[in-house]
Amino acid sequence: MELNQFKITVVPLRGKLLNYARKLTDDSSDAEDVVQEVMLKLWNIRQKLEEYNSIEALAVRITHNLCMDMWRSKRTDQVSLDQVPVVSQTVNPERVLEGNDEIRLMREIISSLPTLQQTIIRMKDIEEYETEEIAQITGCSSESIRSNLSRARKKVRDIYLKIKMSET
Amino acid sequence: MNIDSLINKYFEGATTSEEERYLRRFFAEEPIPDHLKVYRPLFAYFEQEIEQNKNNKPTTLSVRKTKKHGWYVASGIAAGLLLAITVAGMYKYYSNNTDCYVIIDGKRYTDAQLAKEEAQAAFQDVAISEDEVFASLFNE
Repeated sequence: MELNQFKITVVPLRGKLLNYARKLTDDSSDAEDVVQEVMLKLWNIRQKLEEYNSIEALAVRITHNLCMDMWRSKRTDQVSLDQVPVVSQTVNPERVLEGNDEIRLMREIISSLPTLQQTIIRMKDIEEYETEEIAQITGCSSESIRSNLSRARKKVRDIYLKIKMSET
Repeated sequence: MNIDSLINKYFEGATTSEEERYLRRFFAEEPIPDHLKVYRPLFAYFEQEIEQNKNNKPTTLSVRKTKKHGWYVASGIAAGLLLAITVAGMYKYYSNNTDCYVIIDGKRYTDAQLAKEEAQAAFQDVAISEDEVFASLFNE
């Protein structure tokens, strides 16, 4: 399934999913993020979508699961406030000095991000999509993608700087 | 646009893919100004991932292709073998029926005239004449 067909069969489900996500999350910006992620997940399995009887049922199920994940992570967030200590525990500061270890550290930092931010960074910085293309896939505005992307990149930078600071 | 404002633009999520390519190239080369060195691992990581993606994609594609290719070749060979066996079998069947040959002292002769003569001679050896038949019937 390519972009044009995706836009016809999947993107129109957005309104329905958004309503559903709003009911489950009680927060319209969380709902927006969930639906963005649902769309990107569907895009990443676009080659297999034809095998499903109902793409809509699949989309609703993914939305449901992501809302549950979000609900759970919010509850655990109240217990452990920051992801930084988690990351720095897994990386031995002495080994971070070398170039390869720096790259490994970056990989760990990025994989510690929420999945939507991970996906957007991956698509933009590694798969080389333009922001406008991601906006078309998700059916959201470029502005909303841009702000999520910015948040993700700044978070990576901040976590990295914190780890560096703690080393010196 | 100078590199500092491009980096700011990058963290605002506002750079194009072209500009991001430029940034990755910039951080892959020496020398990098001291105040920008902290960004090198990030772009080096992306560069590495992109390279890996490039290396992986063709192999997965070609694996799939050769797999399909393999099936075509295998079925082709099977069909060819089947045809060869059929033709060989038919050839043998028909050639056995039409060819006359005679074996003399363990040697095989396919000359038709010779085969006929030898066959006649062999029949002569075992033939019994009319007289002999009557004799055997009434001489009891």
